[in-house]
Amino acid sequence: PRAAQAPPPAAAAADPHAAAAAALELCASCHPAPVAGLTGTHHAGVDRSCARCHGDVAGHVKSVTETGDPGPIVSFKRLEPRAASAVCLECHDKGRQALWHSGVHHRRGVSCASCHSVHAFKSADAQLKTMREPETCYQCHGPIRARSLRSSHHPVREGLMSCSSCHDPHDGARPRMLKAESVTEQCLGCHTEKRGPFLWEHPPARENCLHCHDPHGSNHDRLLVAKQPYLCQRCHLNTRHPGTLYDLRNTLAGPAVSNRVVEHACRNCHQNVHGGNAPSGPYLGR
Amino acid sequence: EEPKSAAAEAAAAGQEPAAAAPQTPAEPPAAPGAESGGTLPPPFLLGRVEFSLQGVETDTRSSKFQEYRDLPTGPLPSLVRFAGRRRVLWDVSAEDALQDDARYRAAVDSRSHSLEASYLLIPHRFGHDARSLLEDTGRGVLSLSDTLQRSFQGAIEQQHARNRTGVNFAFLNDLVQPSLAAEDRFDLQLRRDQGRLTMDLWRDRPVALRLAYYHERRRGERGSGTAFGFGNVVETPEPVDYRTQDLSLSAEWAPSWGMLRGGIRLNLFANTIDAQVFDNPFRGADSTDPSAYQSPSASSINGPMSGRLALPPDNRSLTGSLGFVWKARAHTRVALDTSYGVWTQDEPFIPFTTNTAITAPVAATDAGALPARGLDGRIEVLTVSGVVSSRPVDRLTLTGRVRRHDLGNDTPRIRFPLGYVRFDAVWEDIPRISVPYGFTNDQATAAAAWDFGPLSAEVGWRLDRWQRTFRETEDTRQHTLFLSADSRVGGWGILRATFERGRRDFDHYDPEHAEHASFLEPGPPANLLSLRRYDQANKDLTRVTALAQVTPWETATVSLSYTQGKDDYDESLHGLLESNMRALSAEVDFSPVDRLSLSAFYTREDISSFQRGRQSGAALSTNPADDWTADVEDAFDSFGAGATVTARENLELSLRATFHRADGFNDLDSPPGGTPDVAVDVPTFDDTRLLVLAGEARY
Repeated sequence: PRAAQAPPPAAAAADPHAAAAAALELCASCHPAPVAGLTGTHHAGVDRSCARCHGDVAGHVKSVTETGDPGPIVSFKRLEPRAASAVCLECHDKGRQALWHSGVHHRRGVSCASCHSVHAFKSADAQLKTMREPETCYQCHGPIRARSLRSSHHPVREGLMSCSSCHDPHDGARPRMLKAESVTEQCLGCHTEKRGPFLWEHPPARENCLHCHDPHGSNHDRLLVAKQPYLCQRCHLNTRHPGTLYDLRNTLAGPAVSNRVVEHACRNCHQNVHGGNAPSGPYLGR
Repeated sequence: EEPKSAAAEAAAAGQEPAAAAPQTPAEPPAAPGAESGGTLPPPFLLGRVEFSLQGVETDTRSSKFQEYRDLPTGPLPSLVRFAGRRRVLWDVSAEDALQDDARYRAAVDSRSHSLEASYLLIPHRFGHDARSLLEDTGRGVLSLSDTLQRSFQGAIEQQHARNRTGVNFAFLNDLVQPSLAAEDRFDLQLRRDQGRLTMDLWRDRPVALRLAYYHERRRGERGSGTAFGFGNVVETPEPVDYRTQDLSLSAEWAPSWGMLRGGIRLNLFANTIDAQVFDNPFRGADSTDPSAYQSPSASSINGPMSGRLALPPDNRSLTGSLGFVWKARAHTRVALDTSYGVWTQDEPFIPFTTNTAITAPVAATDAGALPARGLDGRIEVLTVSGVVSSRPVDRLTLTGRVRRHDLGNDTPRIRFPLGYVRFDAVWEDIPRISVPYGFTNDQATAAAAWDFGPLSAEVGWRLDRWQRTFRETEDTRQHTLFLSADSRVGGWGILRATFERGRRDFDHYDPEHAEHASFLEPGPPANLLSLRRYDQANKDLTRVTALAQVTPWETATVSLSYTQGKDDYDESLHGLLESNMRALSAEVDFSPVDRLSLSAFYTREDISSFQRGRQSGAALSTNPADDWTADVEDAFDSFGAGATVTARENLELSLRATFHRADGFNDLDSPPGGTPDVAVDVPTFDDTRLLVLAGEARY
């Protein structure tokens, strides 16, 4: 019935915006919520309006009116992931999405519509299906959510960082879908004081922060993958104190508390573990 | 606990209340835009101001609970947001305004151009109620009153003269405790103030530009160990006053055949405090002693009256990038990207020491005695990557990737032929030379996927090769074979599984070569020769992941996932020998009716590692009885549940609970007869509990 109110073809040709608006009105007559969901977004103004993504709207109206069958309309719920993404990429196939096809998300059957919603998004940014971005990622990456709950963590659960602070889920070119050229460069984006170069370098820190840190969370101090001094002793079993066994007796619960175990442990003395610039600091202690 | 996420909700503002789409045409409601006379885009206006009344209950004033956020109580302006559109979209919001974790954002966005500004505060609280004898007198100088310093030294000298063995921990503790107890308490914390400005131009045209500027100021204090040797280590507040600026310009040309893109980025880091100077509580006058490692103790009461620690030096990086994407036939896409960056650092060195008693072989407090004024450090980073993905026939997808990441450290090597100063206490006559480590990392991946209809499967191979300079190995290669399968069961189920099996091998392992690299006159090796460092050691690796996601009804989703990983350093005798992880997750989302949504999740993780060490004295031990092992098992349980009820159109109630438990156990062992002879387990190894209950009513 609303179709009767659509402007005639001549008017549409004269004013494509008016035609699109009228088309939206037409669709809203049966699908008010999805159309209303577009309102605050640029999707409300795309050429051909709903038909841009959903295909033959006129055929759909005709079919529904005459037979009650949806007809030739494109329903994303019924599309295979690749086909669904292909519709979105007709417009979004540039920038970060240009290498979507070679990324692991695409190859594992994730589509744009797995995470984003055009009509009923809940996030403030990026039109995600969940209110907060990490919740979208946790749908498949459950163990990462568990790690984010650990005592040592980045401020993701506090809402001050999100997965996309470091990862670009659309980019298929970089390892681990990072936004930077390497893990270390990604970390140095915020931890710029550790970039150096330094007079005295610590080679694992120069190569890969993940040797010692788990950025998704740890029950050990400073996101470390293991507790000091045992972490350091995986590589340093030198004469004297580096190779020494430290056990319960050397903790605050024991009779022989050692400053190589408590507080900053090894870093009590080797503070500049990421690299130091003091001439008297070859052991990163000044 | 809920970090005031209502801003997100507001994104959907302007929507009519959700209603089921009728299958047949019905009497239409007023369509959006109808009141605007049918022009697009339809205007809308959102105005939202939220005031909250917040109560917070914690068992202690915990710096961990408040680590990254403010938790004030009472009435709060949680969210202010106004957004709308006439000619352009605009959006202004403030979350937690005036608090330490406030977020401000303003954006205007036409289809073609956009401008976004944001200002974000991130607090980082390390600890509450600290006490220190040292007072920050500004610019990184932490000092103790000269009177107190001399008084402590005098008392120690008297005790040392009377009874040397009486200079021990108990004596020193009794000496400082009264003064320490009288000190005011302070919180150890810093805050990041981040401002960001991003401008996009001509997004809807073939050539688009982006200009971005980022500024961060980090100010505050964090804990640092300041040491005068084993016998005198004190945690002090390290002053932090950093400024980071980042300016970037990027452009993209997207013709029909592909894309050409490039950019340039300048990043500057400045630290206004070059060094931290900290007084030695036990010395009021400089002196030197070869056994200063243990001072003050029965063996020595000498040492410096202060120490100096170099703080992170100013540095900069300049990076340019260029790349293209070619969209060829047969669903083929070829991309080549390259970036080249230069990182530099030339902060003036601090002198060898603050200790005026060290006058030979050089005047060690004089910067002129250094072999160089600064490092003149320079690192060049070149990254080249290529990606090809193709679907030559309908069901076959091929993907190939190659990547070279080369970090060339061109920093000059600086020689210290006379040695250096150890802990500001004594000249160490050990000639040293700095080592500019560099590496080249090559990665390659080849994968082929076949679509069987409801099932697709992929097989592939991955290479990860590291070529290093100055290290134990020159060349390590890791080959990994991976398999994956994805299945969509009707419209209601997804099954995914991957399996990876890999092997890493090095060309040779030369620990002496690596250790000697920083000595001008290398002596016998000090690190255990049978140790294999785990970043280079030979290993087998296995990874398994599986995910099942079922949507039995549109209103319910159930997910199960399993992840397992194992690294077996099978040829290492000492160091890390094995690490394992296993995680099982379950998650349910259910909305039985429109006004109620329920969710719950549980994750169980088991992470373990096994390492072997050997204790040595002044010379490396060759006795297997001196070995010790650490078998660490961490078990984690994470639960979460939440419910949201929309009681009336404008009243929403939500409840949420999360519980996280970490149980660690360090099983230490040592064979009898050696040193150590006995090892005592650590049964509570970084055990933690975190329970959060949060309730929210929104009207």
